[in-house]
Formats: sequence, C-alpha cells, structure tokens
Amino acid sequence: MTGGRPGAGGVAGPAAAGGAPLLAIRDLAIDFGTPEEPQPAVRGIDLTVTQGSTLGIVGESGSGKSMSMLSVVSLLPDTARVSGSVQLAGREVLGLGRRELRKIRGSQVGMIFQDPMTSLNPVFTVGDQVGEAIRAHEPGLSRRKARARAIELLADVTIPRPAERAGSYPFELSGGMRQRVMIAIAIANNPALLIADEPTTALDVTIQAQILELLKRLVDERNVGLIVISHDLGVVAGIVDRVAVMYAGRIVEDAPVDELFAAPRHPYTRALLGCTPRLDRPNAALTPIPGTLPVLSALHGGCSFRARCGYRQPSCEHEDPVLVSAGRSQAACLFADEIGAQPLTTAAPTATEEAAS
Amino acid sequence: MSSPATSEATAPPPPDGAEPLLSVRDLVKEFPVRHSGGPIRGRAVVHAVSGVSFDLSAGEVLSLVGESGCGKSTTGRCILRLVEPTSGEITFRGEDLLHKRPGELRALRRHLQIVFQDPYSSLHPRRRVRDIIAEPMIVQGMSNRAALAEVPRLMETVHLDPARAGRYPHEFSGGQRQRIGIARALSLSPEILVLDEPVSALDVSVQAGILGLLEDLQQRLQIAYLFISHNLSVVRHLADRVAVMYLGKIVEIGPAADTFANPGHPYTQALLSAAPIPDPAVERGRERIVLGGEVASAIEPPSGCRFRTRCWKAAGICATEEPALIDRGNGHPVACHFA
Repeated sequence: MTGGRPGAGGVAGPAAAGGAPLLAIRDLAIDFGTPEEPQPAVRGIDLTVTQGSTLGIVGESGSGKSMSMLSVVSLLPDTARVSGSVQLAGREVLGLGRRELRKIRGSQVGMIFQDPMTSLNPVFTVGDQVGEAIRAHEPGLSRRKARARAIELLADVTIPRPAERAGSYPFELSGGMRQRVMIAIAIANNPALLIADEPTTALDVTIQAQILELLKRLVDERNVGLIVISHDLGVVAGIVDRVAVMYAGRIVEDAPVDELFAAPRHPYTRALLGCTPRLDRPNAALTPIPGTLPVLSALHGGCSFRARCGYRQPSCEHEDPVLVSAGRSQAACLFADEIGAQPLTTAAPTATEEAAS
Repeated sequence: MSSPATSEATAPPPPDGAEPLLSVRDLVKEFPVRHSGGPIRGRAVVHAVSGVSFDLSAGEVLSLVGESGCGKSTTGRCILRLVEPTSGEITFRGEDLLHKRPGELRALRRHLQIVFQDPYSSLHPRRRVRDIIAEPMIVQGMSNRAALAEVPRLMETVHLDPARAGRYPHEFSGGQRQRIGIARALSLSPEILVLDEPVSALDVSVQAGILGLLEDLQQRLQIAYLFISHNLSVVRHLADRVAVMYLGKIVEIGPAADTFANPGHPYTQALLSAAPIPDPAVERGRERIVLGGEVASAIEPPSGCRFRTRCWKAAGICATEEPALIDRGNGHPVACHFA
C-alpha cells in the first residue's frame, strides 16, 4: 500500500527546519544509579526519524525501549541521569528548562501511552481535556472555540457522536474510546512527530485493529513521523517502514521492515521471530530463548546477548559488537553477514542452558 | 430453530464418539451489580455466561477464545465451582459437579485443576515453593512428609531445579513462577487442567517455553486442557478444538484447523483477520475486516443475535431470532443465520 514512503533515508519536509530530521538521537544513555554504582537502562543508542516515516521499536520488557523514548519528551523519572543528544527538528532537547519543554510537548511531539485510563484526568470531561491541550499552545483561544476544535478532533479520531462524547468523563468510555481521546490530545497541536508507546497492548484485538487503522490514516493524511514502541512483532509489521530491535539497552538491529523480517541479521531478532507463534503457520516449532535478560550493571565486555545466543563463538566473550551497516540495515553482531545470509527456515542452533525461563 | 441453545444442538458428540470426560450444558452465570447511570437504575444483572454447552474428551485440548468480557474465564471458573453457576449442568465422568456437597466436591476436584494468568498474584509470597507445590496433596489427605517427597519429581517435570524448592516465589522469574503454578496443578495428576490465559503475562521468549512445556505434558500425560486465551496465534498452535465466544455465548465451535481455515461466523472471521501476523509482506496483502463499534453491554445484551450490533451482515431476522449453534454446511456448528 504505502511501500513507496521514504524510510530513514527520506527527504526531510518543511517542518524540519534546515533539513534536520524530525528526531535525531545520538549516543543516548540513561542510568538510574550513581556514578559509583551505575544502573544503566539505555547504553548508547542512535536513531533518526524523518517526516512522514514510521519507525517501530521492538524488544522485551526491560530492553530500554520506553525509557529511550521518554527522554524525547523529558518525562524520565528525576533519578535518571541522561547523556548524549536528543534533537527535535535540529534543536537539542536534553537540558531544556520546564518552560521550554512545555512548548515542545504537544506542539512538536505528541505522545500516546499504553494505558489511557491512567493517562487521562478522571475528574474532567474528555472535551475539556482535549480543549486544554489546544489552549496550552494557543492561550488566546476562547474556551468556546477550544471546545469546538476539541469536538472536531474527537470526530477526526472517529469517536461517534463527538459533541455528546465531549461531555463524558474517562470512566464512561471504553478502553478503545479512551485511547482515541489520547490520540486526539496527541495530535491537537499538529505535532510533526507522534510517539506511541504500546498503544494497543491494553486493548482487545478487534479494537487494536481499529486503533492501528486510525494511526495509519493519521500518518498518511497529516504526513507526521510515527514511532511505535511494541513488544508485538505483528503489530509493528503491519504499520512501520523501519524497525529498531532493542536488547539490554542497545539497538542490536535497525533495518527496513521487509529486510528485518525476511533476512534478520542479528541472532536476537531471529530468536524473537522463532519464538513468536504465527496464525498462518500453526505447525512451526516455537523455540524459546533460553536464560533471561542480563543484569546491565554486571556486564563486563563482550556481547550482551552471548549467554542466550545459539551462534555464540569464543570471540563473543571479549569483543563487544557495534552496529555495522550493510546496505540500509545495521546489526550489532560479529557474524551478522553469515547469519543474515542463512534462510529463516533454518532453525537457529539452540543455546545450551537449562530452562532458566 | 425456535428454541436455540438446546443441549443436542449445541454440543456435537466428540469426534471419536467416546463418552466425554467433561460435559457442560446450558451454563448460565449472572452477576448482580449495582447499576448507576444509563437508562436502568438500581439493581441489574451482568449476563456473563448465557447458555454455554460443550464437551471435553479425555486427552483433548479445547480452547475457549474471545475478547475481554466474553465469559471465557467465568466459564472456566464455573467448571471448578470457584464461581457458583446460576444454572446449567456440569458433569465430570457422568457425575454432577454442581450439586455436590463440599466434601464430595473436594474429592472430585483432584481431577480438575487450574493454572491462573498472573504468576505474581497467584502464588503465596510468604510460602516456600515446596509448600506451595505440596499444598494440594496435603489438602487431599496426603501426609506432609509424603507430599513433600513428591515435590522434587514435580519440579523436574516442569524443568525447575529441585534444589530451589526452599526458595520463595519472588526469587523466581515470571516464567519460572508459571512453572511453579503448573507443578502445583499437576501434583494431583488431574485429568483436566483449566489454563486461564497461562502465557498472557509473559514475554514472547518466555511464553514459547511455557507453551512447549504444556504441549509436552499434554502429550506425555494425556491430560485434557481447557485452554482459555484471547490470543488466536497461541490457540491455533495448541488447540485440537476451539470454541469462539462472544458476549456470553459460543458463536462457533469445531476442530481448530477447520474453524481457522473456514470460519463460518462473521465474528470469527473478523477476529482472525484482526490478529496481527509478524510478516510485513503478509500484512500488506491482507484484507482486514475492521469491525465497527464495540462489544455491547452485558447488562442489556442485544435481542436476537448478540453480535448483530457490530455485524456487517445483520438483517431484520438477527434482531428477532437468536441463531442456534448448528452445523449450517460449514462442517462445524455456527450460530449465524447467514453462515
């Protein structure tokens, strides 16, 4: 359908002043410990999103995918120590003051979270909350006009009888409707970038289909950049152009969606695909990934995936692989080329470790 | 077709013609609720399960699949009488489970065990793993000593290291805790295991291990599973037969391969088309049925067919006549006038 949309290499649009990408993250690191006792959560990632492009970030719990995106809107807990660079349309976000951040949130980046019940204020009507989001960036706008715009937005995210619904409180709406309200708030000030953190994880599958459809339409109509964080490879496969796979606080593979799913070059990506049941392949064997995510503060050199990796070699013990490009793909594995060349049907060799999972 | 949901119509004999291990007929569960707002005030009733019938044969995996609020978990809990059904019949090996006195029920329960979704809240945090696993055996009258002697074997069955029997649940990962829950459920060598979303709280890498274990146990021990899940890909992987539920009713039931390949009910079709597939090439080529609206209220379910408010095939008859769950040429029963 939208195969021709430019990926990360696409041309930046007018919103990105001076040709800078919508979002450029360089060497971002997040740590929750102290300098003496570090507790890293994100260990140096680079990401670029251009206008109208869509990026999926996948990985399991604890991989650092949500943390890295919270840094874009400076919503990390106070205890987090952040280093590196996060630029929105060429402007550095890290280290900005509250007032400046408030200008950026909503107008340049819209954020959609997993649980719309805890993200909305229970004591205000949804119309008021969408209106408040609009007035936050247009303080001169009258309440009445903000209300009218809010109703238009609710209609745009396909809420039936929007004028009536604007008077509802969050608890009166279903999970799917609340997520639509969240999306309405996120797009209220026409941000060029939307970040959706597990936007459909709390929803039933038929409602998930509606929300994904809506997000796709918004990307097409408004030409926004979209980042979808998900643990579900299926959700990502249907909506994004490019995928970054995170493991233990790093991006281990970053590739156009078709390449990533057809010829993954990192063992972890292969392992994730190998353990995900597919509706269309009921008889394919599922291979669990042995072991658990390493404790990041206890990593001492070498590849962080090696203990769970079926392709492990002696050199993986001491050499910490960095992302290496091949065409439009990047993978952080010493053997990415050999692994990428193997057809996906060959099962990865099983790492020998007892069922720790 | 005037009286839908009769026992004969809704429950075809199991494929091999043998007597079913478990038989559920016209199961109804209504929860009274205090209702405020909306057209009804005062007391109201949530129609969680409204006339569900099915059979489970020995060694079979039957999956109840559907979205939140369809009544699949309530059905599972009614079978163990963790929730008291409002009406209906449940028989295990011909014995009526619903009219047993507590003592008799306890004796029968050794054959029916359950594994819950959340491996964090379903294990007692202040008890050692060996006591958690041994408890059902002690409840059933085994001596402490004999029960504890069984623990290492049970832990090995679920691939846990018996040396860790003296530890507490918080010292285990989510997947390992789910293994503890399975070991506890297996301790009485049940014939039926009700698995209520056993892998939904786990990461995919861990989920695959638990699914593999369940598959392996099922084949080795020939336990019948009532596998409750919202995840169609997981269900397709594990189930022999599948019953699709919508708003308290089974709308389609049949062999998994056949039902997934030729879904007869519009809801089954929509559910299958909405399930994401981790393959961009496949996703791009799919014709997706995106259902409008949301599940209707279980307090005031729609007249006739409960799915009609979201169905693209709905016609006049759907509001007036409830479609019976019968074979309409799909090779398995479907509750739709237009199947």
